[in-house]
Amino acid sequence: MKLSITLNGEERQFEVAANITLLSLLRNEAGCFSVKHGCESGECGACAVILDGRIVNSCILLAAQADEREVLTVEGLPWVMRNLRAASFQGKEPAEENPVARPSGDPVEVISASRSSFQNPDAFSREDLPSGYETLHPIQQAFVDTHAIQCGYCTPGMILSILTLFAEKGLIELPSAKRRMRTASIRKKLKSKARPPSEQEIRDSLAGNLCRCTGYVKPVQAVRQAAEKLLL
Amino acid sequence: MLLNLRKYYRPRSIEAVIRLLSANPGRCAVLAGGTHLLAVPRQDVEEVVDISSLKLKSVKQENGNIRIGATTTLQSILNSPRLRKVAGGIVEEACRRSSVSRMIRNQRTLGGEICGNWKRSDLGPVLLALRARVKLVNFSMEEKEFPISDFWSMLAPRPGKRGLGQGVPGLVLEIVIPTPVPTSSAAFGHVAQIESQPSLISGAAILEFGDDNQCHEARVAVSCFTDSPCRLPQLEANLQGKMLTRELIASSCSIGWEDFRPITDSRATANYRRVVAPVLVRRLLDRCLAEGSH
Repeated sequence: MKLSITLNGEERQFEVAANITLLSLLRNEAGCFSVKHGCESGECGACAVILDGRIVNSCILLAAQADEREVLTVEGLPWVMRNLRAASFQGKEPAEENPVARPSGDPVEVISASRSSFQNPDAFSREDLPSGYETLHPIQQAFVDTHAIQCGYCTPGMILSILTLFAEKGLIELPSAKRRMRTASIRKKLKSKARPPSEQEIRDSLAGNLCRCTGYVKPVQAVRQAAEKLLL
Repeated sequence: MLLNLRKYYRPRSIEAVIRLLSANPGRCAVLAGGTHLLAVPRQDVEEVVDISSLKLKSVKQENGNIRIGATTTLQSILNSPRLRKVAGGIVEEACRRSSVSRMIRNQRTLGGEICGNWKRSDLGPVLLALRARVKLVNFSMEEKEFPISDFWSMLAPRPGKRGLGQGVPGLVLEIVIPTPVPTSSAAFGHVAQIESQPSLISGAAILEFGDDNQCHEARVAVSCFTDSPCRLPQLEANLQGKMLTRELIASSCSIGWEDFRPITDSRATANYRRVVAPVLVRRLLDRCLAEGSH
């Protein structure tokens, strides 16, 4: 069957069998290897993706269920970064490049993250970043800075879980290729109400992501650090 | 994982869903969230009918009833301010308990929970204690409404019964919860090995008090028994029309368990559940008494 999925901001066409899961499609057809193959029963959260703004397990979702919908994986974070309108980034500086073109809408306020505020120069240089990245997303950088990554198998799922938590808390806005971004005034209003998530909320958000290395303290620290920086 | 799945449909009308289900009753399954259908390898399903486009995602209040659409996800229920106020928030609490994972709660639907996971669902006792009803459209396109206990008795396996979807006689449209009287108090509780694990047993209790502070009506339900979540009629009858005390509750909780057969599974034995169930119920009723009497 033919599917049309907006994957990481880009509309993609796939032709797959009806029983293929979204996990298989993303790994085998779309090359999104951040989506990990774990338990295949929705228990571990390694295969987490954001589907239409909500975090879901792609192993218990048919690829056909994602037809005509938007899927975001960690590979899409550079796209998120380019569209990110979190005016709370420390050290506002205009972006050098234009953000991803939107279908329509108001002029977009472009604010990119200050590298110095998110990047530990000892840990990373710009050349170390994967292709497509100008800088790491604040959540990714916080995971690096706090040493929250061990084997890294659960990390993409955790980052996406936290991304949806931050979006819910008003700290960031998840971009959409089909929907207009909020206007600057609405974003400003929402940001004034934004508050960092409590430890309980962070742990609730991460409850579906099992860490095989049993590291459950550092990711919480990472989330707190990222939230603080986004609120600055 | 559906090993033999050949066709996937996503119809936009109820008529089309019924037509597809009627055409291949032994091989065609309803797909809502997929957390039960896709979590284990199955060979019997050849076609699925995805009902996510049917616009059954809603929480409405009408004529003293709360109507929850069948494809409303547990996370949407949890986020609903309307449901948070109902019966001390036991619906919200049970939804949170159904899965600690937000990913699962974002996918799992209320309809799927009562049709696919009805024996062990934490929501089962809550819906039973709240006297929920199930509205469905049958294969003759007639809308019917059943008490949830009657609905579950239709799903119980019987020899010669065919069809997927656990023998649901149609398509579930919504779950109707009558708003409890203001003088009632409610409690939900569970026993689990650790918080992130599924409940070994869960229960819900609702006590309705009169102006005279007497218990006018008691409804107590527990899950993880052989057939479906069940009410405890002897215990309820022992509390109704009486001035409740902790002693009366303690003595009542020891009666009426002879007919109930808990399940044995990898998490706990039937004997353990049999011992724990009266303790859980007593604690729930104590909580209701502390919150409700005045």
